[in-house]
Amino acid sequence: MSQSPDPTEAIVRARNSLARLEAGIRTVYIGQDGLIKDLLTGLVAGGHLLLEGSPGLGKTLLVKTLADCLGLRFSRIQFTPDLMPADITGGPSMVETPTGGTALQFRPGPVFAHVLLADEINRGTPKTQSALLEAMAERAVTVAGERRLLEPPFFVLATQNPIEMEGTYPLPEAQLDRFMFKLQVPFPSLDVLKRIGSQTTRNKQPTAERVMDRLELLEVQRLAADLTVPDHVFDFAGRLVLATHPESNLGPEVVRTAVRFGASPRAMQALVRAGRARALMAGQSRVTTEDVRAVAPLVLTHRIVLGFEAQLDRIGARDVVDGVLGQVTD
Amino acid sequence: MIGTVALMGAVSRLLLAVAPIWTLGLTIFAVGAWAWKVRRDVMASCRTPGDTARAVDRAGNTQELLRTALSVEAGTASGDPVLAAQVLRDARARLAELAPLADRPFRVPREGVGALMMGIALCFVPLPTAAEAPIARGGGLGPQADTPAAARTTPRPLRVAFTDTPTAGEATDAASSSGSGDRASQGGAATGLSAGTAGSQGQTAASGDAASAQAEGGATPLTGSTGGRAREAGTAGTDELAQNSDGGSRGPTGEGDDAPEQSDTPVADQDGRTMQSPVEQTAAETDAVRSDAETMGLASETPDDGDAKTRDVAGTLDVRTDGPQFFDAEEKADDEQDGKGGAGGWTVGLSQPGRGGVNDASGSTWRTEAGLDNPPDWTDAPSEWVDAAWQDSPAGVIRRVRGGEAGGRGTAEYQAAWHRYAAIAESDAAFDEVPAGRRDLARAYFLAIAPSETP
Repeated sequence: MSQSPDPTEAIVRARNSLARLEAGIRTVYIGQDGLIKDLLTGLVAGGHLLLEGSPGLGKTLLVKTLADCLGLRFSRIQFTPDLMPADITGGPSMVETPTGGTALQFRPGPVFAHVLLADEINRGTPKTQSALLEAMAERAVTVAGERRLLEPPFFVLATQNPIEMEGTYPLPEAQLDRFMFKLQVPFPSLDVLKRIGSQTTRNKQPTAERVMDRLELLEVQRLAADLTVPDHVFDFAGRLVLATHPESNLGPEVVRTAVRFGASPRAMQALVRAGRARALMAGQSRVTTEDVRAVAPLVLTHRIVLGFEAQLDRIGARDVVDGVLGQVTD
Repeated sequence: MIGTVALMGAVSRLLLAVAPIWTLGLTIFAVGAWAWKVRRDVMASCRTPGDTARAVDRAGNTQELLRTALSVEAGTASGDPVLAAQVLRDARARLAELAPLADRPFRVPREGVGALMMGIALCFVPLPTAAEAPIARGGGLGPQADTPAAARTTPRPLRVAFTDTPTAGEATDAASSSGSGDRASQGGAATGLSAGTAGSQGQTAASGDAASAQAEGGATPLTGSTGGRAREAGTAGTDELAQNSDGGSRGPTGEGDDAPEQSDTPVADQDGRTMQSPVEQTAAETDAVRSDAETMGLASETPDDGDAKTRDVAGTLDVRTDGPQFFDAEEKADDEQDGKGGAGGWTVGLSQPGRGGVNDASGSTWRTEAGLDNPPDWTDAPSEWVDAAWQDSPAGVIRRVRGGEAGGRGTAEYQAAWHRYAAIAESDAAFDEVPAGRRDLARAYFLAIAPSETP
């Protein structure tokens, strides 16, 4: 998508492009409309996403379909306990030179892609998980003392299975904070299950078509960052973040009793960026508090560390976020 | 309102007649409590522009269009300027449609019992005092920038020197030499000696008439009859000041021909902004003058140096009656605490004697460069171009204020520029970053370059 001199027209074009992308994903991925929208919101915002759901819900299919529709370079890493950091970042390998000799040459790992699927990331050891930290935060990889930049866009979608806890390594808080959204993949409804059964069991299965290219996606991301965000939206997002802290008096009582640590300033960035993306997908040229409110559960839930009392009282992070959203008004 | 109060009085008398006193007290307490609640609700319902925009956005389902536009206008929004401009255009396009939604947060009942109770409630709502709204008053600076030049009150320092042998001629000459009814009224009002200087409103017709009367009296020694005419002309002034003017004519000038020889001539500086009314007085008459000053609330500022040949109460005069209102009560308290000025008001630098003096509050000495002993030559001062960008001109229009050869400080352009910049300086001086003890410097400076009455 070439840059338009009229931002308003560019917004309309971006919205149409994103609508085409969404439609393209739906041709392959059945159901989960809300999940697809959240996925695209994170994509436009330039954030990394963590998908959590039971096995067989189509998490991997969703990510692969997205990469196919965008025509982006796609990599998949299946995390296992014996996975090593070099298996992610790549490293030097011995190659044969044209003169018949040998030399060390850097061999890029799967992280050098546009869309990286870190499947069952909680099965990898913390050391291996940490290998993704630099790539996710700085969009660069340092191997053997040499720093290599990743080509934009770089989009990490990690999945984890919440029901198999044995042999898993829960993601450290620092790494959780680097995921813009944590999306729950719900179980499909009966209608969706019927469509899955009818459309995916034939010989000829639908395939994803490329509806958007890399440059077009970058232009959409740039446009989202240019949307107007008024002061009261910043104020609202900031109060939301502060309200998740137990020492703040902005939040409800449940925060003071159940939360050990609140959301970080990175959550503030994520709220605004995701709000911009959501506004752009709606064709708006400005961000409203409603945009921030809509993305707040996705942004804040995995950034809140609950205390022991919360477990005793069966209070979840989503309950805390709902309480915060009920307390903080625009 | 008057009817309401009268009705309250009648009800009170009726209650007193039929009920014991505690019933009336209870009623008054109940009404007061209700009034307090109304006042609290009114205050709580006051809306900021942001609140109003939020209410309109909600009522009009605009998805925060007005609030966003407000933020864009305030420069607090983030994003592409072109998109921000689009937000402003959208907001302006819908403004006419949304305006009716900006209903008042509180409507004053105008009929029935509600109106009666509201009238009672308003009795308890304190009105903004003069000290709380210095700029908004007639003598302030801000609004005057938009008023015709002839209607402006030119702030000027006051200086009155009392000598041992005042004469009527001096007083009247001083009045007549001032060349302005407004100026004459100020001088008279400050001293309480000049006849007919009752003009609490310096630019009112009353004070103008008073000035005429003074000018008339200036041709002859100020006799009692002259003072009487002056009082007639200045009847629009306050009774207190009328007494002062009466006192003035009752003083050494009252007898006209019997007045002693003048030992000093009245001096007004060359642009006529400041005026001194030197009047020779005996010690007893000085006490009378001091009494007048006390009447004007200046007693605490009057130096109590009876042996001094010349007594200068300049800068100690409270110019709240007709001068520029630069200070409010809080600021005045700060000044008092800092030793700048005193209870009588703010001391004007230019009006101080050039050799300085002793501060009454702190005992410290001060000194000003522009004193009457060395009056600056305003009219013949070398002219220069002053380039200054005015804030209401975002495009950066440069206004040039021409100096002496273009008419000096009497031109309308100079006056307009002076009022504007003085208002800016005054508002900026209220910032906490400006030490309270230093704020007078900017004020004294603007008084020093105050426009003259005539080109």
